[in-house]
Amino acid sequence: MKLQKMVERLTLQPDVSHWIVRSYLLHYGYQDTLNSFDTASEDTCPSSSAAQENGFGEHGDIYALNHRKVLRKLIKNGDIDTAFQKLREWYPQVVQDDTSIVCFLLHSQRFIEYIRVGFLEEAVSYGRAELAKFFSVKPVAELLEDVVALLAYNPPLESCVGYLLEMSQREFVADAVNAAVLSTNPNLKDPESCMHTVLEKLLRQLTLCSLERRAFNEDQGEAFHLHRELHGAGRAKCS
Amino acid sequence: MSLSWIILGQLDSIESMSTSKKVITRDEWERKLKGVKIRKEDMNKLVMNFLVTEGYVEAAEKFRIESGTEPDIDLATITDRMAVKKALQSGNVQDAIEKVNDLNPMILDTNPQLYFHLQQQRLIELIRSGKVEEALEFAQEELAPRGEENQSFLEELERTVALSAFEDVKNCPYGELLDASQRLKTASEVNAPILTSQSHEKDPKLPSLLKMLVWAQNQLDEKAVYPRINDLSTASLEDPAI
Repeated sequence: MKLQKMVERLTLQPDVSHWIVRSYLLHYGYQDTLNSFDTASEDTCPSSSAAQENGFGEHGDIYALNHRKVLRKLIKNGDIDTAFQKLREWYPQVVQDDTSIVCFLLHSQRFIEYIRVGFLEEAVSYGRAELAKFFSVKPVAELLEDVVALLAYNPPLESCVGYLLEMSQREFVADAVNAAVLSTNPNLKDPESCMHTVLEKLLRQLTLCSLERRAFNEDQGEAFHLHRELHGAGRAKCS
Repeated sequence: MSLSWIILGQLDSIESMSTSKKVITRDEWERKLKGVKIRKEDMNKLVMNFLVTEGYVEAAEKFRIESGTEPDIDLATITDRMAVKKALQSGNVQDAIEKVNDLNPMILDTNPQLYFHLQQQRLIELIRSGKVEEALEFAQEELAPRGEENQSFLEELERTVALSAFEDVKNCPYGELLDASQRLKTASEVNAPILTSQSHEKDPKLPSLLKMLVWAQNQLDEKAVYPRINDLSTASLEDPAI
């Protein structure tokens, strides 16, 4: 508890949390949330928009915000056909190479959506037409096996590959498409930035520093782990 | 004497060699970073927690729709909280007090300072609207008894009442009490006790995690030289100075 108090006493740059959250929303294309956030922030946090004054840099991810929002919504709703159509219309370079990872993820998701509604025949047809070619693409072969295995189980949701039917899989695909669209930005300065948000980098650094420090202590004690931090028994906060 | 200094000098350099820190190169550090997986849904939860605790109701609703993340608190309770804030920001202190009591009558009972500040705000609003007589009556009946119990209340009361003595209220000493910022100050004072009474942590998790990062790096600095993040807003790694 004493340690926690010492940590709490550290000071941060004003409004940096606000900035980080905004950056996150912008990166992943949560446009509606971002707009509400900005409107509500006008009264309480004007410094976030007048970012330069606080020493914050430019938000780079405003590129293609609306398109990315639309694509995410389509994928989250399982409408992969329309997602493909929009991509061909707006960012053909992303789907040009039909053996790319992005195409693999989209085709897999289309297959999964057929399975979800029990259209097994359609799933098989689609699989033969669009997924078969990926068996020779090494990085995705394992995942492909899981995807195709969905055909073997009834009900598929309760099988070991049932995770593919969860919403988190749709989100995973949406994030990949998001990154791919961001990478088409002609003014892109840092390709790495398409993949990760500032928030993620900070959390990774926190985790790694904690692990490294623990290593000096012969791995005694607990290192930082975000999932546990969020779901652990809420520590009583001293006010 | 010079000989002993020389010997001491050598001891010194041997010591610093034995406490020399482990050096982790940029490449190695980035390789290790790649091995750290952070779940998207956990980050979503962190963001939702921020929106909810800081009272961004609409944004939280939208985020729930856009990301499928469930808020860790009933959004209706945020709406209640924000209604109180809004009432205060428009100068409707009585309305705000009623709303707080509707939420939980214990809040004002157990937070005398908050209650005093709300009453003080009410006094300010009366003076602002030129109702000087009513203001002074209110001060005498409601606030003076509290001032008698508490020295700092008394001082604040005296400052507020002093406003009524001036024609040009905006430009008198203590004129800042009439600023919108004073309303905001009172409004944010109300936030915490409501959250606490709803058994919700009153602080968002994100700033604590950022502080943990600062702390963790400071700790690791004692043992190693490695790429640090010095600017939280960019999260860019800075190469270790060797």
